[in-house]
Amino acid sequence: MMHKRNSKNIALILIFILSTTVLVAAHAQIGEVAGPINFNVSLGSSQTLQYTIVNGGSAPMNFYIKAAITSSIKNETTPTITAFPANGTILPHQQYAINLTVHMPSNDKPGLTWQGTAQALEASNITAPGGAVIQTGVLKGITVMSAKPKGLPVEYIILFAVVVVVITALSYYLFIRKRKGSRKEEKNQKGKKI
Amino acid sequence: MNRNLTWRIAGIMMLTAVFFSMLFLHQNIAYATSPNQNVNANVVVPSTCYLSATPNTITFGSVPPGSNYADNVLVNGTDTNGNVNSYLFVSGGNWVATGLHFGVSNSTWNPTSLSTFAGNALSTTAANTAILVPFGGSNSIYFGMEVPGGQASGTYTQTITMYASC
Repeated sequence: MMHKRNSKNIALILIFILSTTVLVAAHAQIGEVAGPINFNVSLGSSQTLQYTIVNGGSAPMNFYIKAAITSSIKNETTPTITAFPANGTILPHQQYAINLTVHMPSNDKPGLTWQGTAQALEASNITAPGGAVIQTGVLKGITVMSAKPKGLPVEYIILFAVVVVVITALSYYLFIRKRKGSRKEEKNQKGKKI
Repeated sequence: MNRNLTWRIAGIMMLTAVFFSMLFLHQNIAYATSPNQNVNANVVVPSTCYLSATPNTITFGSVPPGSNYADNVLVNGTDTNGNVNSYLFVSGGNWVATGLHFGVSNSTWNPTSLSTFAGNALSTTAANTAILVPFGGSNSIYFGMEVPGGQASGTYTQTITMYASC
């Protein structure tokens, strides 16, 4: 009887230790894929690039994104940047692609460069009354360059020019031929009258 | 005589059926135990960095207005899963209590422990601390703070954000 009770107590203690260990061990760890993100955006248009964040931990992670162009150029309108989705949940050991979209104003000059950042932050409900809460995140440096507006591709321009030349040459040839034909007819008419 | 012939024919047919059954089974077994089929697979492993902070809360205790706490409160930034080094960035928010607040710049950070309040002021904009967090390892950052003179009493809280950037 005593032996059975001791075994039961030991089992309960072991279950408690195991569950505590599991609770302590489960955590999220935010990460990002390395490398800068460089935008080259035509004036008056937008460009979208991906920013990949990762959860390297064993618990789901809630996150939110902050993206901003942090520099400015005198007399130029600063481009805007948006992130989609702006928040979400990453499952353990999974990655998540965030779409960053930069819109370049049409009235800016080409060849200008702005700097910005995209931040992915782990949403936390930890509190520390009388102290500081340490929040973790990842930060990506962003470079945005303005480019000339995209025109027609060169091939199309050449093709158009060729078509115009051909039509012009054909029209001229037909015109000359018609003119020769009408002159010949006039001569014949004159000959008959005489 | 006819009966014997019938039985012989039946026997031969049965043996033939058994023979072909065994042949069929042998071929299937031979097929199942044939040399392994190779399938080529590939994966791209990108350069990645991670960050976790320990501890995730820090306390400065009771700090009277006009006094400060030296930059010696340790927080470790750790990357256990990454494969590239990263740099630590840090930013913060204002100290807030119910209906009260004082500025984020009253908190400071330093790459090494200081015996006085003399670190770099925290701001709402992420600043590059130049502290390298090695992949598979960790590095330390130290925090301190100061309570402005005349600050109303209360229990204030601040959020400090640590970022890995690679």
